[in-house]
Amino acid sequence: MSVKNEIVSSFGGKIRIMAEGIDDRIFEEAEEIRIRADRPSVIKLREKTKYITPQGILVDDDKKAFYPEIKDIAATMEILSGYSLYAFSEEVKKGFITISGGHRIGIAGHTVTQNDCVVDIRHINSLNIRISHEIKGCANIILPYIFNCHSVMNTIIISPPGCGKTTLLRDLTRLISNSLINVSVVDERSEIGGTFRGKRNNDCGKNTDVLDGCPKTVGMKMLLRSMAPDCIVVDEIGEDKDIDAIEEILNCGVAVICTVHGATIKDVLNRTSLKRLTEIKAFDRYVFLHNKGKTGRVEEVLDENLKVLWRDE
Amino acid sequence: MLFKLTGGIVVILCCYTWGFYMSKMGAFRMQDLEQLKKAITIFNAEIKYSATPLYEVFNEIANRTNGVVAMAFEAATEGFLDKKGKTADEIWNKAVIEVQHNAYFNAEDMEYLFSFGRTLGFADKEMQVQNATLLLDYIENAQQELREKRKVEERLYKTLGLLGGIMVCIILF
Repeated sequence: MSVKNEIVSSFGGKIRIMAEGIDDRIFEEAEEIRIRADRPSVIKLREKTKYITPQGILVDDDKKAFYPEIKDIAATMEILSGYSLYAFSEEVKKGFITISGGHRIGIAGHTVTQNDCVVDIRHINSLNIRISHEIKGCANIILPYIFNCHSVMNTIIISPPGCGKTTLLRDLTRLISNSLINVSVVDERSEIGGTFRGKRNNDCGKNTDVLDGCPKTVGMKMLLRSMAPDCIVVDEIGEDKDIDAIEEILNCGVAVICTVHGATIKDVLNRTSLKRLTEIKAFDRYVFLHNKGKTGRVEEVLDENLKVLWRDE
Repeated sequence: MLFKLTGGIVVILCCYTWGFYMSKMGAFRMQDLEQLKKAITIFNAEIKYSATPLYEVFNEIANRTNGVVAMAFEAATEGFLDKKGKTADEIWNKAVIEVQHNAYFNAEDMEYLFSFGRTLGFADKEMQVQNATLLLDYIENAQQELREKRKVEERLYKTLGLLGGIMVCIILF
């Protein structure tokens, strides 16, 4: 199934008609589609952002754009959950649903809270469709710095949102796993494996076990005990408890590959818990991504002493 | 004379058959309601205790029920899997209308069936279960009413059919 089919079959109402009109090739390079009630629909491509007309044509003029109604968004929510929104209540509470193909749909609306915890999101009026792309081979260039002689370096991939951290991480997982290394992935948001109802849609390698939808801290410890991995892969760490869990894994002699939001090494060092890990030289490699151009393009690789090992010229 | 006699017997038999058929209408409706009750009970249990997706629940119901109810749920399952962009309400209504001519539901039953579709798909677990329970309550009341009415109606229609036939014969001959 092509990316366009995966996305279009999840849409309903007039949003579906709009998406059907968008050219197949545009979907191949699209990163995000933003649908907001009574606001112009926007598509973010690799190098530009455009408005979308009701017929699916990309324009610069917001007056020609498609303004979806709240009922179109409600119909889309119904269809993308396979008419079973009740079965996705846990995902809705977290603010996103992952659909077939590993595309993540972020949602915003009126939250219902109980004891400071979100228990439901009602009157959903904003959708952010993050289109997942598998770029096989994008990690080839950094593989020699991260993996050699059957040992995997503890690696942290750093970049702002939307630069291809997850894409790079997925490819890295695939490459390492195909070299007969047991890789275990904690895929809290089902983005790495693109698992939908138990079926893995993305190629994560031949020796990869994916723990889908599991919170990172719990998942890492579970995998350590249950799957005897050589390497644990985890996406978007950030909270102190995630970093504590990583420290525990590192002390057990299992390699960790993780990603974090940030643009420079300063951003990493500004976080107390990450700074601590940097000081004890927990990570052997720091990988930074370009925030412009192709998704998943590596800018530089640093070693444990923060010295540049490789830089994209 | 023989011709008249044969004609008379045919008329009486036809009217009696009509009366007999009419007397069985309640029983047929009872059968459909019974199947629907079974379907909604399965629906509630599946939604409440396991977060099974709707098409799987409907498929399960279609396999475990008979007659028009099974047909309606089967048609809806196909609609859900089609991914044509229709809402669950539209798919359910279409499925119900498709089987309507084979069913013995009355107008009120149909109204409740349509309203069952209105919360399908987008509501949370509690709302789905509550709405299904509403339909279940209605079915139980309708069945109770039907049971009381059936005994009287069955005899009434049979007698009416027979007497109607005799009356036609008297008037014509």
